[in-house]
Amino acid sequence: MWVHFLLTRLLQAAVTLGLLSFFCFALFDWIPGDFLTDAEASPAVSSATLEGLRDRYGLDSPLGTRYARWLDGLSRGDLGPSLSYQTDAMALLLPRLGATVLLNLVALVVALLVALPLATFAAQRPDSWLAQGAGRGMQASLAIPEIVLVLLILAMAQAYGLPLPGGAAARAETGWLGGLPSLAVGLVAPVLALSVGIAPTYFRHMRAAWSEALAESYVLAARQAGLPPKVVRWRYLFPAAANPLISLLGNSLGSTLSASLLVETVTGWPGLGPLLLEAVFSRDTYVVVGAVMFAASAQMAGNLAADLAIRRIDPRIRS
Amino acid sequence: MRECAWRLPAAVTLLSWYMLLAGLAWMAPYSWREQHRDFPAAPPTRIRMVDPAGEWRMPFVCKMVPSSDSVGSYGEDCRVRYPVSLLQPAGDGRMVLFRAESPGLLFLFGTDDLGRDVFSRSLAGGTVTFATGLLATMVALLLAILGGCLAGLLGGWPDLMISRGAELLMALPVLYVLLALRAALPIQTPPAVAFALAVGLISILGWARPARLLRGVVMSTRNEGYVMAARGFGAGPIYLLRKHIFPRLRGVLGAQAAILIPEFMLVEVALSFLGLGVAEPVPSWGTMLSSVQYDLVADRRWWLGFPAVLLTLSILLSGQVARTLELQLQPVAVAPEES
Repeated sequence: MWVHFLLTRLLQAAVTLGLLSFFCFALFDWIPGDFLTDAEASPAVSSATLEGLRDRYGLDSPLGTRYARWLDGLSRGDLGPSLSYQTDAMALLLPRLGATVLLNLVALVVALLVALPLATFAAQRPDSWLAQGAGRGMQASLAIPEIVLVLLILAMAQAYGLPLPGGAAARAETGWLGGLPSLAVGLVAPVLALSVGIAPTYFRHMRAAWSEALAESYVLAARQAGLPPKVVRWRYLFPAAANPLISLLGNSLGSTLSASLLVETVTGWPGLGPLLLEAVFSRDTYVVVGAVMFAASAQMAGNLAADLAIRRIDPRIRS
Repeated sequence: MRECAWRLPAAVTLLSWYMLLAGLAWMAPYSWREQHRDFPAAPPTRIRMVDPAGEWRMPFVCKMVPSSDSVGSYGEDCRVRYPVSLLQPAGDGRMVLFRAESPGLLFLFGTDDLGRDVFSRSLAGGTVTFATGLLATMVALLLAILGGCLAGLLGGWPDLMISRGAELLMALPVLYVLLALRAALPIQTPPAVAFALAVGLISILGWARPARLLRGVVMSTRNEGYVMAARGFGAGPIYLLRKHIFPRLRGVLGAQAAILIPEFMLVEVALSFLGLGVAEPVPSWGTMLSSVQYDLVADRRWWLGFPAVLLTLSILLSGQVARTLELQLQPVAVAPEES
């Protein structure tokens, strides 16, 4: 049963990615100009050189041929060349994808670690000052746009000497273990900016889900039967409340990735975002397509993982 | 019906906030493109009530004196005073919110690197950002009505294609796709074209969610007894849409508009922040903030962050209003845990 579910979802994801990539190719094909258009104006570049480059990268071949060639490369793990970096787009994109995923995961974990305990507490004692204060604070930070948040963090970094990631990743490339401390230091500012934006949504949903679960009759029954609070909490409350939480996790990944693009660009975290932006400006087609493919796959993988996790945790879904 | 009583005030509050911004932009003390070339990066002008002799006076500003040793630092010469007046016609005959008697200068929130009044530019930029959000919302909702009604009424393969298309769009990270689409279009464009591109791209990516909601409402309406009865009496699709379906959509449309406008405004801000939206010299909150990125940090020109304050206030207000409207206008569509 769940194999069928998994296969369907994977097929859907593949179709989505295929459509998206073809659409990108078609759009780039439709709009006049390419990566070398700017170079045409330069007297230092001869037209023979341009022809040679166009020929080498197949910029002149028809849309169908180029897309077929790209798909063929994709099957071998090749995303095409990066025109401005003169290297494989894959080699360029993979470390960036890693950095983006790392940033998003850490920010998510930090946000959940803050939001979930607060939310369960707020659901259990809604009248306490901590619950009230947390509710107000979360509501306020929900209203601050991500972009303003990043700029605030940037200003704080300047004022209080909060370290920024610049250079951290370069140092990290010298080796994982050696670079780890500087990597962690560089993560502080972007994680802060990202998780403050994420936490309120989880807080709100978790508080609602937990108080709903508290009111369920089977929870009451479990309590009345004299089960220890710990068992009630983990065996009865948690699975019921986890369902909306996990679907939220899956659904909000897209907006988190989008927010992450801004955060990465402003704080200088070497993720997919800054690379995509740079590629957009230089019309480095294959890198643009590759970055969007990676971001889309990351989101869809997250969605799928969330759906699988719900089926695993919540017994009501499985049947 | 206590809840319904809130609907009108909420919408009116929001509308009046944006009308206030637009109105103020029209009454701004300076034009958004006017450069005061002798006063770049000036801090906010202080409005004083006490003169150097210690006497109380009507509000006035002192003469601003650029210091000779460095650009962007200024002194005040309070022997020369310019009274501040409210709501007086300026030189060009425009009614102006407030101004110092010429040749005095009053920069409520300072000037940017090019000597342009940040206050006036923020108001004009807010108008650009809000107009983008509003227009994109209108286009997206039109697309959504079209898609939702087609899918809900026809069913079958049109429904399948539209619903799958919407799901596909919602499965993608918006900003990434937006940048990719923008990459395929010319980067350096005149402001008007950039504005149209932003509106077009945002609405093309944003129609999916409202379309799905509308489709659901259309489908449930189609199966209502009174609609079936109307069809039984031979009512055509146009009549059904006009008499039975559109009235049911109105609530969802209102709520979706309230949700989408701030959302799309933020997308516009992000786009122009990244340098892919409306560009200099036309202000938008996004372009203004993108220069803050460097000035605020490198030079501590905190007053350049003023658009961020306005943006936050707008989003805060819009968020509150959207939640109020959402709860009342589309109770079906709101997940139970949100209420």
